Amino acid sequence: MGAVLLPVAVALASLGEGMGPTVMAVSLLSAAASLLGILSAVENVMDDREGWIAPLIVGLGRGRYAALRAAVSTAVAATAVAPALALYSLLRLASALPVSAASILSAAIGAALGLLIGLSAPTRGHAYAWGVSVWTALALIYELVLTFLSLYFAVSEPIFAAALPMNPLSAARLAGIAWADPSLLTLGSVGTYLYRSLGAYAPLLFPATALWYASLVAAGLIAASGRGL
Amino acid sequence: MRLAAKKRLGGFQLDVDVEVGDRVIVMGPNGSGKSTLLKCISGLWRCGPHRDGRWLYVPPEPQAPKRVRARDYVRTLESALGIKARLELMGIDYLDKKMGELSTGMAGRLVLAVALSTDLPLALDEPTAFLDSKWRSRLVELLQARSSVIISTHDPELASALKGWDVVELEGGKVARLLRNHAAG
Repeated sequence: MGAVLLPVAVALASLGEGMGPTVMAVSLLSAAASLLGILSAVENVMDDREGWIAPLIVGLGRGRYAALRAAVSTAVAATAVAPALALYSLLRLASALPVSAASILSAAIGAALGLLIGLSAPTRGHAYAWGVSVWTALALIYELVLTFLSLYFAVSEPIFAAALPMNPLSAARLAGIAWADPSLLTLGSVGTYLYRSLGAYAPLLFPATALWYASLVAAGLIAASGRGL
Repeated sequence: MRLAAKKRLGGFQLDVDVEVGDRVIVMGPNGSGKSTLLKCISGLWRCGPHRDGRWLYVPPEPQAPKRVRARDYVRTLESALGIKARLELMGIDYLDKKMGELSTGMAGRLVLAVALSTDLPLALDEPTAFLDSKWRSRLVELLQARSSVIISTHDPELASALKGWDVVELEGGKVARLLRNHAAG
């Protein structure tokens, strides 16, 4: 699956250097990495559930199984993203760190979401449909809705700023963008608005994203303990 | 032992509560709840009364990752179960093949060999469904030597070969008949 990202990485690297292209790379690679994380984790969990999961449950217990599956799925997602990130870093070394950090965090968040979905969905078909729907909502629609809401209703700056880390995929992406472009100039007027409201707290997006990852894995453990597998 | 499970699946209600010996054959028509009962007993499905079973459920048609070699698959299972698999029990001599290259019967024999290598109580779901006559006979031999086994089957030959086992007949999710220590034939 990770091979799909290789041409994307080359295309993004070909945009050139500087904040604009780096922010574009952070945004697109993070979005792709999160989708890859969701789909690979869903596939892993459904393979387990449709295979012979009984020895894993009997031998390890449900909690340890889910924790181990979270760790393996996260590693699989990060490994799948790694070749594209290596290629991008080779071509654009100066932008490598923010792009890689945001993409790997997004892949990890995606894997944790995929784990939760895979353990909760009744069938493989449901799991993939839920995975793609959740990704579409969080990666594509959430910020659009937020922006339109702020245009038509008086959404205060603190509420807008708080709403961004409420979405785990936005948190990971913005963490990378804020690293590459601390003033968020590349996001235009929205960036200025965000910088005013988020400004000095932007570095907190990394721990916020890590907290999201931990929370989603914990939700996965709860799902594993309470549901039929 | 007490064989008890309650589970609602759509319009179907499994409701079993019966005292049986430690070697049981569960029979009944399609949709009578045999597999559901085994999944409940093994704790794979959450059913009432609450049970964190240590029964090892073995599905009728085990699906394994197709690209993984049989040797590696067995190693993973050994590591999860903390055992050394006695693969000779079911004549496994194809460890270098990938799981996707195995027939359903070969994969079934591999999984049965691993399950029979444990000391865990076994919940075998249609264990003879894909076995040829040679390995059916072998399985019967091995099962006769074990305690704490529940088998669901449609196979009257298997049921009659396992002499002295209790037979629970399910119908519509409920116990229709219980035969204790049934004899052959």
